[in-house]
Amino acid sequence: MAELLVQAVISGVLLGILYGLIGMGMNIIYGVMRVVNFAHGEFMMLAAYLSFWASHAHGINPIQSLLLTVPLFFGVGFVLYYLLVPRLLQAEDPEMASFLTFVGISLVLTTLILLVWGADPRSVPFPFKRVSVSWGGFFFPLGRLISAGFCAAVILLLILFLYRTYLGRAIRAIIQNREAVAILGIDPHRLSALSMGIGLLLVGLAGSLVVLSFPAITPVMGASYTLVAFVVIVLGGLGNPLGALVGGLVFGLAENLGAVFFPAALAPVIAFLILIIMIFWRPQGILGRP
Amino acid sequence: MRGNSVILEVKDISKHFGGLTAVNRLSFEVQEGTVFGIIGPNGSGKTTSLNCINGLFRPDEGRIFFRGREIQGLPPHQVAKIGIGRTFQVPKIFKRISVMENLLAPVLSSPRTDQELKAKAREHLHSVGMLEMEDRLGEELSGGQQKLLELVRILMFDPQILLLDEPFAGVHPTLKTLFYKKIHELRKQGKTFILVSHDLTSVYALCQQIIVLDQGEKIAQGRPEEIKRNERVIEAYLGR
Repeated sequence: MAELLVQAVISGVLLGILYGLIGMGMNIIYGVMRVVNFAHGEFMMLAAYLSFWASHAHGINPIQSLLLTVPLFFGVGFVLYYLLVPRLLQAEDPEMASFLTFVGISLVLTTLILLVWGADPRSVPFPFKRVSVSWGGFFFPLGRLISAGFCAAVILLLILFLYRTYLGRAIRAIIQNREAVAILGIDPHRLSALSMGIGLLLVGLAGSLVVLSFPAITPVMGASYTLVAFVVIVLGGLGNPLGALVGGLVFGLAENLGAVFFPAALAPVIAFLILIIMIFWRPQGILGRP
Repeated sequence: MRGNSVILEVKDISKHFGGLTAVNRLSFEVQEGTVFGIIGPNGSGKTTSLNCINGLFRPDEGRIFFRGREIQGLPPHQVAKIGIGRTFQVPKIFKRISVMENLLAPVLSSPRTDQELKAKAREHLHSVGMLEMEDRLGEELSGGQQKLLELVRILMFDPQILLLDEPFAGVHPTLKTLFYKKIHELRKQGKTFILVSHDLTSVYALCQQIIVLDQGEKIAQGRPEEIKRNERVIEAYLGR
């Protein structure tokens, strides 16, 4: 039993890092704009399909496909901000307007994928030699290990960016007070567009890497990842990019430890139960402030 | 100090919110290197006037000139960039980052090194007696210290005019003295101030020129000693 639990913790941490990266993207967007990207999972799904296309049409592996998805998703985020968000923020009810808009975008992306790649599940072949990685008697799934390693490196870079650069400091400042940033001479729209670009860049990166952990992709997987990202940021603390990492780890661990004690299909229920408990016990999330 | 030239000119600005006229055809000129006071009872349009100058509100009518350049309707970040800094009655500091980071937040790029920028920030903090607080979070400061932090933070981008909204409200007398000292020191360096305050003693002590607003309209303008004796001002404040 103990071995099983340790194995679940290993899997939970490896997946949790990926969930953390997905949540960080959503949390930066939410923190800066107070807009929840309800199409977050669908953007990730699009990146996964682009990896599939790159792999099948051009023999490019998911890691190499990052060279395509990362700049593409950053650009999409940057442009999307100017196209949508300033208008949404001026709406009479910005929350409802942004909710409807991003749900609309999620439907558009799902339909687009259905039209281009059809409804059948697709799979991205594992690009590396399958070797069994084990240490101390515990097994580390190679795909998840590579994916978690990349995600951890990106998270580290993101933390360095946020805490060691002028731009990162300005992003942390705008998360706290948008108006104050403007009166200090910083264009809040430019900074928000960059933040949206970074948010989508992160989810594009996660989408390219997720196929290493879960090779089968379907046109309906986006909604479940949007839900995961939302739960992760509520668990970790809304608007706190580091909170998303903590939330991702908690979610990954809950999901995998839940699978030890309950049927696998019930495992996500455990994670959502933790969310409900968190909302009652600490509504601001683990790293959030009241 | 250049002095005696008009740095800011407000011409017939009006601002309405639905049926309410917050500012009605307000005009005034501010001389460079002076402290210009705006006083008036609650709801007289003082803060709305500042909001129109720094771009938070676009006036419905009228024009605003800064060094001869028309600025009404410019967004706040552009107004800040051309040299107009602003503080608020409730300070808009970044509460969850350190005092030092608050001061460095306006810097997106600089030819100066990080060490040089920090040295400049420390100079400003030292001038208001807050040097030892550079590592504290913004939220750990008292209300008065937050107001001082907001003041020195805008100095990081070296504005030519500073719009101060109720800087003395709820501030401990010791900190108020620091505010006075800082305003005097900056004025000597040629900075211009527009001071909105209910603290008439401070306004009379600091300002060279004062306008009085009541229900969005200018009812008086003059030097402190003229304003103190003005019947309409006394009436507006005491409701006679």
